[in-house]
Amino acid sequence: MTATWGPAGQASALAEFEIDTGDFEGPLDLLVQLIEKQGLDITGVSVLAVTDQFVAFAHELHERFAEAASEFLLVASRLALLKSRALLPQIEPDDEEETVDDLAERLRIYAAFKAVAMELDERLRAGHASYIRVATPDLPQPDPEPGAGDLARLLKAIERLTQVDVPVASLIDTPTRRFRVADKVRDLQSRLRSEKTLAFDSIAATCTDRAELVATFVAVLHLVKQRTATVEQASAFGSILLRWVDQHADG
Amino acid sequence: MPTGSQPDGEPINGPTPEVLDGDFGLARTIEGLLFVADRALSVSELADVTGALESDVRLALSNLAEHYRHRGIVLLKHRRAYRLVSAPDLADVCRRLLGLDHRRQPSRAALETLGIVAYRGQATRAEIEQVRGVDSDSALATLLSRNLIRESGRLDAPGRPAVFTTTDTFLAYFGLTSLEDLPEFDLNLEPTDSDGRQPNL
Repeated sequence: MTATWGPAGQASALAEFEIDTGDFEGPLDLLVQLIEKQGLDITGVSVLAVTDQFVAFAHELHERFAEAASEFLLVASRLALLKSRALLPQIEPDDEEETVDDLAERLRIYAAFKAVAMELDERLRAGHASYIRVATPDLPQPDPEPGAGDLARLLKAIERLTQVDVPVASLIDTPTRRFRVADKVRDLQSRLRSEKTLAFDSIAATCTDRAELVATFVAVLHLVKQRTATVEQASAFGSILLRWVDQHADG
Repeated sequence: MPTGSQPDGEPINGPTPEVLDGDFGLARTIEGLLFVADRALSVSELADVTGALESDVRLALSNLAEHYRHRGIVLLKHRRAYRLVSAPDLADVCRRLLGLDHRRQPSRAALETLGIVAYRGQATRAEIEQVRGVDSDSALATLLSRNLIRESGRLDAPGRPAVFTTTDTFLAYFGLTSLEDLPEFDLNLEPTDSDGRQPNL
């Protein structure tokens, strides 16, 4: 025991006790490991016996864990003080200061919890666990069939359409303006050629009355038939997206 | 071939003698309640809802626990609350059904922290760090996010620090059915003194 009190072990502390500097968490963990590696019980004497190794570690750690270094240095300085007091008992102990036995007691408590952690770890590795009854996870919903939308979405689609400003009178009166599908086809073609995609909603919004809306819709169907455009509707009653088909690319 | 006096063909869901010995009606009722509950139920809750005495509830629960000892579900007891969970040794097959990956082993820091909370019953961050001698914030965060511990209240002390306790998930996670199943702690820790240090719930 007295052999380790001398400065002899310092330089070779890391190699001698085979503790990796990444292998412990904080100063107490290191102290417990140093004491256990030497096969000692945690007592005040054992704590002092590993002071030199601890100080060597703290020194080593200074560069690797800058943020934790202060904790190690704090404990190292306490150990140095406690050890000097043990070697020179005539120095008056300060009542407020931690005694080596207090530190040993803290280490014993910590070591007991470390043993607990080890046992918990082994339990987990054994793979046993209980599960509570849980709701089965939702299965992915299939794509809606055409026309299989829900009521809320249907109402929303109707709402969008009714926002097209149709004067009440025009619903009754014979339309005074006439719209030709051919004109609408031409309009849509030129817009699609430059814009590539168009939302049907946005086209419909520019229609001044139902007759124009009908003509526009028929024009869309015509474009699809011509394969000048494709239409996409992500969900039933969702908005319709027109997409320009590049004739040249198709060959 | 079974030759014993016990008939082998007894229906699995038939009443078993252990449960019949106690108050069979109450044990049955409690079993039903535990089945539908999505959380642990306390003895006082069970007494309230069944109109039975707490002592009778406790007796019925211990009969149920005995009944379930070797079944696919077991009765988990966390403090004063009870819950039905799958038997610990069925973990692998349960994980397969639930589509769960292999569990990541918690860090040693997290396990030490968990041990301190479990054995002390409750602990503040400062108390945990006092024992471990090192910052334990990230360990606590891990345990909280995995629902192995929870904040049970605040200490009536400067800064009103949070007090942590284990959850029933903690027991299930380790395949334990009660806190008494925890490995023995070979150092007598002083229990947290009750005067003025109880968390305000």
